[in-house]
Amino acid sequence: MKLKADNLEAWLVAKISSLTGIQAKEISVDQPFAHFGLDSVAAVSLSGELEDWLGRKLSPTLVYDYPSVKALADYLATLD
Amino acid sequence: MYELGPHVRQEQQNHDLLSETKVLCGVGSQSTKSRTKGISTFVGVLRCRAERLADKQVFCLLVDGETEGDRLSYAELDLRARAIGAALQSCAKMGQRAILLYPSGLEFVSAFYGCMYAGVTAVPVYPPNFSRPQRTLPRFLSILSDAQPSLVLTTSLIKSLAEKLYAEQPELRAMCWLATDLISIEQSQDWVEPTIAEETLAFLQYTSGSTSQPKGVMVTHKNLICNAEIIKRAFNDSEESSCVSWLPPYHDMGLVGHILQPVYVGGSSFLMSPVDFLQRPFRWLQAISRHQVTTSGGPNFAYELCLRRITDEQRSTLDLTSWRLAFSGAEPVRAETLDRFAKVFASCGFRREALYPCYGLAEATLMVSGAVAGQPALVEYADPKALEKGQVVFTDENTNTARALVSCGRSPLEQQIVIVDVDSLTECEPQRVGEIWVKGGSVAQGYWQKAEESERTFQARPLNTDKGPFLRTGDLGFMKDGELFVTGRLKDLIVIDGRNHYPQDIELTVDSSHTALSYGCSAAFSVDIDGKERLVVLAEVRRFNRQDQATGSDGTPRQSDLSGREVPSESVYQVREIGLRQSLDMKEVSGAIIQAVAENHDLHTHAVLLLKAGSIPKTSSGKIQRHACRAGFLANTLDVVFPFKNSGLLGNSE
Repeated sequence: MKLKADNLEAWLVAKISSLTGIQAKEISVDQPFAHFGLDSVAAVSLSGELEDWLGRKLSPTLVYDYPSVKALADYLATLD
Repeated sequence: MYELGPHVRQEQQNHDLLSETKVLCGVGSQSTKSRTKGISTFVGVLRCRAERLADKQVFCLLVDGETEGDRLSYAELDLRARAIGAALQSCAKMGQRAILLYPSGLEFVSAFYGCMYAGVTAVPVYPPNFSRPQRTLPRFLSILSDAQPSLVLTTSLIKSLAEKLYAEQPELRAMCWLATDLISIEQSQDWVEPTIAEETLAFLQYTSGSTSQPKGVMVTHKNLICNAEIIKRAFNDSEESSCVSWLPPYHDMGLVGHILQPVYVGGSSFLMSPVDFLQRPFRWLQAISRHQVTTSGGPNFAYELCLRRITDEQRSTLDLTSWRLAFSGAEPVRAETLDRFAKVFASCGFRREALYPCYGLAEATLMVSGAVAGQPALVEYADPKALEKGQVVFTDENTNTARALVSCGRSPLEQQIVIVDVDSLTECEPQRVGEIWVKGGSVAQGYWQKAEESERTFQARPLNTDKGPFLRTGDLGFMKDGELFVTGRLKDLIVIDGRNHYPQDIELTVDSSHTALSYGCSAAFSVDIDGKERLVVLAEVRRFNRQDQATGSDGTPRQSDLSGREVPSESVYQVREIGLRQSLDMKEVSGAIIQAVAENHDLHTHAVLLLKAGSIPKTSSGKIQRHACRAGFLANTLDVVFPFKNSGLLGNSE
């Protein structure tokens, strides 16, 4: 499934909002994930949920390599 | 003299040359209790297994947590251990330390046994992430300095990553690095069996201590064999036992439970990386189902993750009938989690009686007590208010406030547990909560090169008896009818998701996360919220400079209290009427704390409370009183300037 960065960003913001309880409108796409207090269990879980949604294998430590919503969405948008 | 089973007797006839030790180790038919008695080191254990079960697969790596990858039979493991052991014998002396720096996998397993085969003390550590050195290197370097190793064993890949940091990190360059994956199997011919005894140190377990003061628990071969025997009997382990582990192999539960125990009982073990489990907890249960595993477990949070993340569809594919022992330890065992897990996975053939609460710690090698295998977990209900005062008052299950306490089982016969009052240091009356003290062959030798602290922790004696010496566990609990109930912790240690965090490490991070905060003026502790431990941070904020104030100051001079400390006047904070700009500043401070804690400790901060300067509870000598901080937080009596819960301002969005 090929998705645009915008869709990916929206999905990630919604997911982080549900993981942390922070309102979606308060989540800036440029802030590092750590800013929202995402711990390692949540960060690695996020890559697993992305796998399910995108139907493809992803590195468990993806969130560390692309540490903000924008960086991660941009990277995911480049995947085939 | 033991009664030898038919299989062993036959072996004895066939192999007259076998030494008595080897015969006694005889791992034969089911009717024979596997006898490793007479063998006093783990080198002897593996040698014996390699002879008797040569071609049996002992370890298999699950690549990505799913696909079967590298495997080792007992004979192959013995061969690899001899090759690595010989390489070590050529460059290190017995008793010297070797750091083990590996990802989860079979190279780590081989290197660990290789160290034992050379009489070298293994020091397993979490591999630092060399692409994020500032976050992960400090702990590694502080262990390096504490353990004073002669060499670092690792893979050629990690070695090449470390080499890139040589310029900035002279401590790394100074070490002798050995990539064990490059050691050829032929080198095994040079191996000479070392003269080690049960008192020989097998490894140092660095899971205790803060980053600045790591503590290496000294574990001998005798400790290992004693604990392995305790676990084997408690779990009813045999050669038919198989386990799967996603636990980090650098920790007691991953290492002793899944890398040593399978070899001790002649069983087999499947290993996957912790991140593969965290990414998709389904992989854990899938491995149990696919490989018909008998024994597997982890901390309470692992069961919670399965409940939260495994879908109905995934669950419908699982067959968990082979899983006869699902242990839960390393963090508080919650009755509610066990209950839901048993209900939800019953449809996969999972049996409630398989759930096995247990208690242990690295200072006692691994396991201290455990339930009776195959029987449902015992739960008692107590009045939480009385428990806080150290009294055990049992209540009815249906009482609203009743706290469910899961029994962590009984102490094995050869070990002794006493409950000691922490103020009087005398043995507690029954029905009183006290510190759990343990005596027995599994209790480790102390902390590496820390005589005073070892004496304090490992050589304790209750004042009103001549029993001892005991290990002080730092955990609180009580005994009822021989069953151990763990109720809390004496130490300020924060345990979240099975990982130990030292509050002083977190506080150091907090203090330096924003210029509005000062050193030594924050507190980190955990509280139980909705059945889960969560991190709370308190931090004093410095008074604002005049130009930072949202509204003009009245210009009153700074006031001092009796101790000479400056006390800000109310107007400095504008607490009563937080101006918009100032409240944003406070939010920024809270945000900086949350971000720094996540980056440095991989921890989610549940709440940050910024306190008025000079108001955080401290002792007369200026040390943070974490217990008082926690009590103040729970009773809502702190002098809070700005409360921030990670899901919004406290009180606003709840």
